[in-house]
Amino acid sequence: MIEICSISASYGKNRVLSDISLTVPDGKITVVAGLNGCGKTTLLRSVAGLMPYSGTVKVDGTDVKTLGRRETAKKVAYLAQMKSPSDLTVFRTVLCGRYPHLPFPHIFTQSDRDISEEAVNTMNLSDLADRKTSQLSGGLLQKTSIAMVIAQQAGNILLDEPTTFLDASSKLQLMNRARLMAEEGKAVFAVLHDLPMALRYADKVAVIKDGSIFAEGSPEEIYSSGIAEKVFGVKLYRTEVDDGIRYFY
Amino acid sequence: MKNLQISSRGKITDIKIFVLCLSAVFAAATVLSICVGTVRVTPAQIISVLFSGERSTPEARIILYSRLPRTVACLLAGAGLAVSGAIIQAVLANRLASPGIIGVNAGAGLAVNICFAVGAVSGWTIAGMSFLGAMVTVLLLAFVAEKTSAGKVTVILGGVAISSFFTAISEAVVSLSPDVGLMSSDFRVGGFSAVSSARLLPAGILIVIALVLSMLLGNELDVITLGDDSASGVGMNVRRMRSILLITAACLSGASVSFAGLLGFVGLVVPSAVRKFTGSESKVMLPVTAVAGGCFVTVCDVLARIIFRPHEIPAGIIMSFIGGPVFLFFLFRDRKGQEI
Repeated sequence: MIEICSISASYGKNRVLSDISLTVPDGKITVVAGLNGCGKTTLLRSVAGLMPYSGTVKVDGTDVKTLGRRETAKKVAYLAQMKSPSDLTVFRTVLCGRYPHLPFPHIFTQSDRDISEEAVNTMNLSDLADRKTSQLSGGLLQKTSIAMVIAQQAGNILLDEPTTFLDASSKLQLMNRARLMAEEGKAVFAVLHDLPMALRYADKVAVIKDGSIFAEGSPEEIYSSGIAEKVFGVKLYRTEVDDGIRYFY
Repeated sequence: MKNLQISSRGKITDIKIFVLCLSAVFAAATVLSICVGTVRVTPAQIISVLFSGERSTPEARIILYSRLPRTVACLLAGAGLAVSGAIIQAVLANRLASPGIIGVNAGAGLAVNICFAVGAVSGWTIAGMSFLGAMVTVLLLAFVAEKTSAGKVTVILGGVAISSFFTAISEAVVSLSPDVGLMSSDFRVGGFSAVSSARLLPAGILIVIALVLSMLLGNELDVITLGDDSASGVGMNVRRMRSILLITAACLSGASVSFAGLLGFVGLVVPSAVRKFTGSESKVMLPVTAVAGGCFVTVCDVLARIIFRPHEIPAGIIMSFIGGPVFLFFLFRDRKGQEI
């Protein structure tokens, strides 16, 4: 579980987050939505301990500021926004997810390799395991990064725009994977641009505007409050199919 | 998992064949380097000198006090500069970066020239100051690159500018101190004709320590190539690790420059070529790069001794003859959008 208590963050003199408090419970998907530049990624980076902030972030009851980088990484796995690929192979990249678990002198064990192979298989990447990530499409690169997050085996998962560059089918696969992680008891905290996708998969949605939480609630509450129109300037519709699944568009 | 294992096996076989070929070249280059010169020595004589303890013949003295130190110097300088290049390329995420291009060698060279100018010519002083010069340069470049979020090309151009600046100061030192000019003629191009055990020993110790450290940091080097956020996300203190890796690289190139001079292209060409065969996983790539770097420099030094026999030219000239076209090849291949 992640407890965010009154955190604020700035880039130089430019304040990006202002007094944000939010709880990300275990076993649920919590999504942060908002316009570009509203502070979503900054919030995730703060929680991951990647940038300075004022306030408190507790992960599984422990203040992140009291943890070292490696200890934080054992508790929190962070999928960064799409980045330049390296020359490592897919498997070697996924194996990097085991880094926080390595005692000195940081040599991978067979167990680390098995866990990474399982993560590679889970993301259906076994045929590409020996391919360099620099030779992958954006979607496959993103899948590789997610496999690395899976291999990290942290109890709290931060996903920054995980569906970027993915095709429609891969987006659904990924969000279903996020759902499985939540069902395993992990706290999943995601930033999504795609509001309909966020409303469909989230258990809880926090809408950020100008660095502060503008609204927070279940997808149903967010939908019915008309916040989408106020913040995003778009009209949302909902339909429900026979099996009870809600679709927003 | 079946597919993963099958494809990995094919790759491992390729690497084994490459390493086998490289080992053969390594052995041949080492023996040739000891045998070739104004006075020819046979492999049988080498074995006799090394294992019988016979040291009174002229051949024995040539082997022990000239050819052997020179060969060890070639192997160490090649290994040091090549691994230094591999580390710098990984840390700066730039396949065109190398100690020669981004000014690390020039920084080390400036320090060595200053040592000569002030008369501080002991082996340890030169090796230590050379390391210091290289370290200041590489950390300065990394600091500026991080602070300005400079792109890959900007980092290279910044390094070229630093290199020119330090080279200009070196030239000024050489011009103002005639004795330095005499000592550094071979130094500026890079060569091994003036290598002595006294100069080689301290630098060699630094290189061996830095090589071992770089092999131990192989996993860290791989993780850092994922990018700052991803590397931090898996628990790495990126800023600290980047500094450690760059200081290691500076130690390798600085110590190499202290006795071999400003050898160009080794740190650029060798890691890129090795990566084609081994992939980028540091655990395999770094040791193979070290061996390949040693082979490359040794072969160039042997060629420098035999091409214009009985005259000898600095090995750095041969290296530039080979390295220049290879560098252009990488450059134009990059322009086509292909991988470096």
